[in-house]
Amino acid sequence: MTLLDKLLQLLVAVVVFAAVMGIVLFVADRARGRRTDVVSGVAFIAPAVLLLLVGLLYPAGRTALQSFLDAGSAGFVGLDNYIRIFTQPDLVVVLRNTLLWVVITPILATAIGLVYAVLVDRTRFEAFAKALIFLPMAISFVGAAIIWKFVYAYRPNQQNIQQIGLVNQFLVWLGFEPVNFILIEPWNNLLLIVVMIWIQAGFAMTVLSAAIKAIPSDIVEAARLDGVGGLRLFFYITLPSIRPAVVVVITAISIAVLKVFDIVRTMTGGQFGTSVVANEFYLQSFRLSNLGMGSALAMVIFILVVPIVIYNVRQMRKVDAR
Amino acid sequence: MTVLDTTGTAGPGLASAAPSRSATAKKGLSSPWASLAALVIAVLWTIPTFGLFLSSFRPERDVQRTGWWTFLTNPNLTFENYADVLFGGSQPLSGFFVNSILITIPSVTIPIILATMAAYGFAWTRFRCATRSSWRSSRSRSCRCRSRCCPSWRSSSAPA
Repeated sequence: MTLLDKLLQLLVAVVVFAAVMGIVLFVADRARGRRTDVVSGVAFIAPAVLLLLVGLLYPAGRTALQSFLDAGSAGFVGLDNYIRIFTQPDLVVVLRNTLLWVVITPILATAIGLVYAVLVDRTRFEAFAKALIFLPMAISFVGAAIIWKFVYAYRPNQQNIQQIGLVNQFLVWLGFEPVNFILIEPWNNLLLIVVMIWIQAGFAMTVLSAAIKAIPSDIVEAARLDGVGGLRLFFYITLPSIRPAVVVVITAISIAVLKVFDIVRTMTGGQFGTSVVANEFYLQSFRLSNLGMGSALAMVIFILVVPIVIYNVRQMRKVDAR
Repeated sequence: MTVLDTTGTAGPGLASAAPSRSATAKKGLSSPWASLAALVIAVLWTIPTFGLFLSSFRPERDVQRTGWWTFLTNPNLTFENYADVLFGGSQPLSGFFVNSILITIPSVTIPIILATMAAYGFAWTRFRCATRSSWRSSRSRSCRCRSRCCPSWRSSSAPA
């Protein structure tokens, strides 16, 4: 497809969308009579609701149904797929890895983001310092995974072979043997988790920095007059004041972590016991063509995410209400 | 800081102590340990990206055989990688850039327009079974959620 064809497609898409929206608004405007309010309200909401129905609810329902069928979506197998997820050894490893990810990543990323936000708050180089930490968020997950693959790279310690990975080079400089980190189970999971922490700390820092700046200054002044400074100020004044924001950040990062697929796929391809549920879902559905199993794994992710989302929405309402 | 500066009722001891604290806060971090900690975190976060940035300017042979830190002592700069990726080869990246732009523009503008319309509809349409607590408090408690919500236009001047 040439460039012209692509631009033409873009133009056609935008024009068609504008035309459809124009028709919807025109119909909403022309409605007269007793039920004009109903028609107006429904017309405004209808396009979004329709797209949600088609793009979200119908595929979700179909996936839920497919999770009860077998590999070719032909026969009904009941809870067989789910039972296999919780009993088959390599799938239990997958669940264990996902649990590691969900427990470690949000807490560490939020802690580092919070500490850094407090440290650089109201200093001279604040903007530049924040930009440095936020930079990894601007890199796609795949790019970040490749960067860290270089950092962990391993070369055997022989004559005429130099290390190209930073971590192994440090080990060699300190006098140790280089280690092929990616192969060591189960610690290689922690290496991949570091990548996610590296990315998400910027998000945590940005949100928490805004929350810290929103603390009323008279509270801080009163505390300083009382002689509270440094660490005690942080634990007794800052942290309680930004608690809703901290909870929102932790839950948002948890939701992102449950969907992580690119990092695992790029760094190890899911081998060496590093696979997570999202990666396994891709493997089962598209590599092994076991749609029933893939759908069951997707439903497991969904069931894990829903309580976090509900809690997140409720906390965000509290943040807005303040 | 402004509270202390404008009120003239602070005692002499407080007036001399407060400006120095605000001054130190503006100049730098409150303690050298905090500066060091922030610097360490910033350096740790930047090193991987910096390594990739340097690697992009090194010839392929060097990247495969030595680490990027050797570039600092033994620079061997080349723009070959960039030329190859952007313009040469079988799949120049410039084509992918165009694809990205063509995907980004509609996928940003269309959802914003749809969501703005839906948000307007949700904000200004009065549903009988609304869950907004501020609105519910002004209505009677007997208003329950029925199986079919009847939306009507909410306006302050219209009678209930």
